Amino acid sequence: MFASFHAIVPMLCVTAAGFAAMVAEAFREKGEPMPIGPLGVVGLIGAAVSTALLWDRHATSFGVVTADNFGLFVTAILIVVGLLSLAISAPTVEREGLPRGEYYALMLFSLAGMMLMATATDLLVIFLALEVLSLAIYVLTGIRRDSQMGAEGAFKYFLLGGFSSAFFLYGIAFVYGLTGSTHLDRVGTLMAAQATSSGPLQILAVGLLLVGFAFKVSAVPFHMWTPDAYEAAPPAVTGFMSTGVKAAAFAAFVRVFLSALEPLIGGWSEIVWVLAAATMILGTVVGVAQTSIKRMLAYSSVAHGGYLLLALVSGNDTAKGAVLFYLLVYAVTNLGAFGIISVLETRDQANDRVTDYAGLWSTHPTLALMMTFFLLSLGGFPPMAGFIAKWYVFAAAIHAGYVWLAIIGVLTSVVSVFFYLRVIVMMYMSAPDADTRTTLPAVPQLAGAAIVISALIILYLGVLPTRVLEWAAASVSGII
Amino acid sequence: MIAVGIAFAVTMLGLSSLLGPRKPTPEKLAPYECGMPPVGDARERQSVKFYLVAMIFLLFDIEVAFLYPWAMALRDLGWAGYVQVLLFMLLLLAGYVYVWRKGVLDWGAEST
Amino acid sequence: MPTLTHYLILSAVLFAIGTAGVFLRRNVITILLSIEIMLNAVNLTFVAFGRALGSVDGQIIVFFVMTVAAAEAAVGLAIVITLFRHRESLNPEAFTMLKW
Repeated sequence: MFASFHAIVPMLCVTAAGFAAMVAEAFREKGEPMPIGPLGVVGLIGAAVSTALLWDRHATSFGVVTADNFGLFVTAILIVVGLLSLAISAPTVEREGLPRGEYYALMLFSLAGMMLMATATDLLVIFLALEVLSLAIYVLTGIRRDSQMGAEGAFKYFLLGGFSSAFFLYGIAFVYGLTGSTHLDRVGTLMAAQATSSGPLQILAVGLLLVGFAFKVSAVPFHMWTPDAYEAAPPAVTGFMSTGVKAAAFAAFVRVFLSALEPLIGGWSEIVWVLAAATMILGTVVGVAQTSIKRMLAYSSVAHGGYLLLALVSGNDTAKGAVLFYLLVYAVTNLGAFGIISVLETRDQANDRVTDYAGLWSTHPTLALMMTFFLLSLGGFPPMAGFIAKWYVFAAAIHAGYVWLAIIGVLTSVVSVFFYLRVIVMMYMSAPDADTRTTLPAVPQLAGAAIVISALIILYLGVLPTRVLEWAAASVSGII
Repeated sequence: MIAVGIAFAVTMLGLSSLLGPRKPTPEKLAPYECGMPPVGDARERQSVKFYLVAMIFLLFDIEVAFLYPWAMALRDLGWAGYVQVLLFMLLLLAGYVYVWRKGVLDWGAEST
Repeated sequence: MPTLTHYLILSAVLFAIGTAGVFLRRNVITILLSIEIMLNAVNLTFVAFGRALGSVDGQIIVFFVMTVAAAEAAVGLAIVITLFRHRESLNPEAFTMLKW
């Protein structure tokens, strides 16, 4: 009886930690300090150990969750995301006086949902996991109840999220109607049998699923919620959702579209081609015009979604490995960057305009250096991990014959360097405002350590990527 | 049959509206509210408590939807099914305890 | 005798009504209701397909979708209440702090 639980042990650990956090919060007196954050760390370590034990075992639970290496790699990324997010959240929770149990419980529940989404092999379970992670994230976006902006951002995110999940579900309904099953490998076999005579229903099913996924990975033209939600949420939450949701959604996206719906690739590859191109171009061009760093990073996140779509449309094994490596690099880099934004925020001021970063080098030299690392990695500069990640994605695209798309990708990433460099120039060349010098707060130790660790990881992945790359490439064989 | 029914209803309603006496008074024209004279504005602000309780009802109401199928297949599912439902209820209980401790269910005057 | 096609057309119409409601209505609660209509249109599709295929899977899926819809409605209402406390309005055009 217990063998069937093996594949879900990582998410069980995280869920248990989440529940413990919730119950602890229920019995916490007002103002009583309680180590709820460390509780989450314990759960995540449990998840990490079980992920390591499950590696190469290909365990299956109840026929709907498969812990294959692809899913486990994404689970590992999510564990890294979780640990870094917990570390950079701690000062935010203190400063804003947020109910800590609620905050960490929501974060852990949403992490469990992300892990489920990455390993689920049944469309219905993917939908449920998507909802588990989204509902928790909507609340996290609006967790600052006294902030009107937070409530508005949460509402917009909720509205478009609920709207898109209805489309996703409608797509599942048509897949179920066509094949009589929601299980991915049965859907794959039956779709392959029907592929020769694909009618309007197949196209409708694929289109609706595509709309649902495109919303979640914020692909153009379904990206409208991204900058608003990213700006409204506390930066620690933004870092968490921009990386975690992307990793989970792309894992499911790859699983659904490159295995179950692969037989219909002729029908969807051109649509995804257009989506990828539009996402890369719009994310970059609009990003240039932003004055808020959070909005700039939101559009950068849109553009990065475009590069990942580029890998998806390429569809070969190299591309799947590239997606995994890219997700890891993007997660660590973006969390680091949002960690810096988070520690520079004060109770009254977001300090997120580009001009607020003027002269950061003279006031917080270490933070300025770290921010430089992260921004260069996001832009894809050679010694950083972002360069290797982009290189592999473009190589996979060229290998698959999508030369034009790769050219668009290279051009947009060259343009994107402009807006990352603008911040860097601001940090080093400009003198700080007389008043910002005093308002920038001191850096909390834990968050500072998380930022330094993120920077070290991207340096390591940039200089010696071979091991992790091989690991990523090896884990894509045998995706269900 | 349906035609006869419709015709009967239409005839009766028509006759009563043609033949019935009509003396409108302000009380008669006011919207009917369980016999009492209407007090205040219908768009009065409600306490947020009501919304909270409605929300919680919504969630705990749906859980029963999962208990009916289980009850129908109780014998087939055996102890494994029992343990699973117990776990499900325990998780909901944790949520209930949370709601309780957070004071959502306090209706006393002293709570805010 | 209604066939599968009739049910599918009905649910497609309902789904379209829900979608139109999200875009056209100017009240936050009505927009939430429109999303519920969309989810219920999908439920109808699931039940119709399940019946046509002769399996109960469709109905079981509906249970899960109902739960999700309830959870979504609860979270949505909670967010609307917080919004209302800041703005005293249910018109989405009043929520203009963030540019779309």
